[in-house]
Amino acid sequence: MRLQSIELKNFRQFYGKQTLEFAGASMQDETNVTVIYGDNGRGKTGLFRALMFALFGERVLDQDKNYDQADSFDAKRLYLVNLVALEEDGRQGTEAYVKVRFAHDNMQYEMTRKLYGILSDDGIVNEEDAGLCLYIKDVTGNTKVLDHDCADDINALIAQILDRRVKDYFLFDGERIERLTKATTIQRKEIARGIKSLLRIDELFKAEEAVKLLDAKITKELEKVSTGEYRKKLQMRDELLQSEVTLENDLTQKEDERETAEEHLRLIDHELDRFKDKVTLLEKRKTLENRLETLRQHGNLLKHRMVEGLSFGGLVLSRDLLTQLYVEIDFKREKGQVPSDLKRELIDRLLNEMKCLCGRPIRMNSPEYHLLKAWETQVPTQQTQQAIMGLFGDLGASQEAAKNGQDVIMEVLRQVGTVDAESDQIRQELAEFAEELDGLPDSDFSGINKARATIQASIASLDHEVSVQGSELEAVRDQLAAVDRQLGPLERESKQHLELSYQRQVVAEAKQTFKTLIKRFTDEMRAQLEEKASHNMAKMLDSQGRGVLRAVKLDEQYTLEVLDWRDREFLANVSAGQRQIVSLSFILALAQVAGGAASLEIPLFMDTPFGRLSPEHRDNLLSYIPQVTPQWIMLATATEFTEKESRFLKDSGKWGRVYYLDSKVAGQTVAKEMSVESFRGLQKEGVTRG
Amino acid sequence: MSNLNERISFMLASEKAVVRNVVMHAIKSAQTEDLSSESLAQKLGRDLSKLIKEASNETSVN
Repeated sequence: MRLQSIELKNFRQFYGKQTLEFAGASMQDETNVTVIYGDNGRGKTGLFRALMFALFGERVLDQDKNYDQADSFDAKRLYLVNLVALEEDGRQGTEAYVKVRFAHDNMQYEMTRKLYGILSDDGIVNEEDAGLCLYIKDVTGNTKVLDHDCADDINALIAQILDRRVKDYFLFDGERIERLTKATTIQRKEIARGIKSLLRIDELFKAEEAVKLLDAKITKELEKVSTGEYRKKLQMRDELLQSEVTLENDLTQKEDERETAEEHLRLIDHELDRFKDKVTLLEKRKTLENRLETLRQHGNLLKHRMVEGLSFGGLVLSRDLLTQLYVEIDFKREKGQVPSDLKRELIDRLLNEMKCLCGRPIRMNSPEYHLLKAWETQVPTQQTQQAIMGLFGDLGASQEAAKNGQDVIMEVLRQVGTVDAESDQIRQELAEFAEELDGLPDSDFSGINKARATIQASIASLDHEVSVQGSELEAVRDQLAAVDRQLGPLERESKQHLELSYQRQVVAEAKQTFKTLIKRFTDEMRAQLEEKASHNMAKMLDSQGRGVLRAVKLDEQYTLEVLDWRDREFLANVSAGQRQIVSLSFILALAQVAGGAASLEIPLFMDTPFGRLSPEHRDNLLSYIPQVTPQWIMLATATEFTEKESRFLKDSGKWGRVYYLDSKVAGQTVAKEMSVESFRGLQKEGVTRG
Repeated sequence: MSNLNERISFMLASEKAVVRNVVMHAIKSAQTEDLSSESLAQKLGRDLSKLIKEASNETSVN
């Protein structure tokens, strides 16, 4: 299938009529890559949706369904008619359509599917199908037109070109890629179902089931018309066939129950993890609360120290005065005035006796007399001098105490500041924890753990039952084979109902053949998938990845694993980028095996493919994908497809077209074609630099 | 689909013609007819005589 163009009118974000043509529209085209640029919400995925709508009439993509919240998606609220156009047209209604032109097996097709949208007075959008039409033109130019009345024929024709069940595999997006390597048990089952459907293995199972039913039916019919030992053996066979079916069903049911139990266990572990997370928060909160309490106690202690520090307050406040006094006394002391070498008592005695120490008399108003009188006023008494020296000593001590007191007060104040700041920060954190802890589940650990233990016991019990029933089923099959061996000679001897007997033999053999065939076929498919996926991976991995990862491996449930060069299972250790490459390699392989060719048969849409890839991975992808797909339609944002990628793709010679999905007004996307030659990446406003 | 059926045909090459016919017929019917397993079994039952006869003719020609 070669996609030539898609024309959209008022479909999703595309306002008015927009047409996009694709590179690789014919096998002769040398280029096959079309890049469609646009920010999120501009309609990149909408283009793939438009294609699926035109071909299959499907509104919903697999990508719309979030596996974790399968019930949350409401298809009725997914509007296909452009809402801006709808608002403009109001109650008159708006026509929207998608027209897809493509070539397949030398035939030209043009498929148009229309719908009509009406906006009710209360703002509800109603959409209804408004017809479909398929033009088919063969190589001689003959045209055939199938319209709405031939809807079944159109659907059958399209189904032959692209199987509805495989369509979603041709839009690769990040979520799909992630899902492959991180699937839960139930999702893995869903993926396995998808793979079986894609590889058409499900049809083999259905055919096998039909043959089993036919076997049971013929055995019953034969039993009714037979007699003797032959009839007894047929009855036995019938009973064994019924036992086989019952055991198979029971086994499937038990295996399903086991998977469900495993899923519950996973959810409980997840719940415990969440709880553990909350408990970690609680523990952190407790630690913080303890710290806050310690700070509070320390704060109280500091308050006491502050009160104690206040006793030094007077000293601290009068520290300058004390210092001044101390300095003055010290000055007098330095000058020998305090304590004085002259004794006041000696001066008083000389003045009383009016006689010098040498015995010479001192006359009144003589210079000696005035000197003694001056000394009498200047020199304090011995008692006073002692008091001054005592005060000097005290002032020294008080000064020291005032300094210490000031230091203590300053230190307490500093600590109070630290305590206050830390307490405020903890209170802030506690407020944040309180918000986070609002969602704390009511269940307690004990309850959850009990539930977990019950499920674990249930899984163990189911394992035992599966094992026992598996053995019983094998025994029943052995008995059936023994009865079939005994029936052969009895049938020949009885010569009863030869035709019916022969039919029974043929169908019984066909049933056995199916068992071997399905096993062989699925093993072969898995081997092919592994080989192609490993090849793809080697082509796309960077040199470092190739040095570590050797092959992609699939188990019987089609669960993906990757082996390193020592054949160890390595998926858990790979980086997010490598994981993306592994998944992408597998999806490509799936499409290659399903298509039965080295290259895909269907255009490959890839939505934002470079998210987590290293530059080398990107380059490998850019050079490899165009080689294995007839058309690659890359839906990218400007941030991931930069000038570097555009230069690399240009050099490959495979890049044919580039469109920019412009939207000046919300909900009005316009597809603008740009020149690949002059394209060098996009500026923020969407203008080429070239 | 043709590739798949060719591959299955190849895998069935060593089987008896009649068994091969029944198995291939069942597979092709499952691929082309939108029927339940029960309906498919009924269809196979109806076609069985014809399939056996065709295999018998093939064998006698060979």
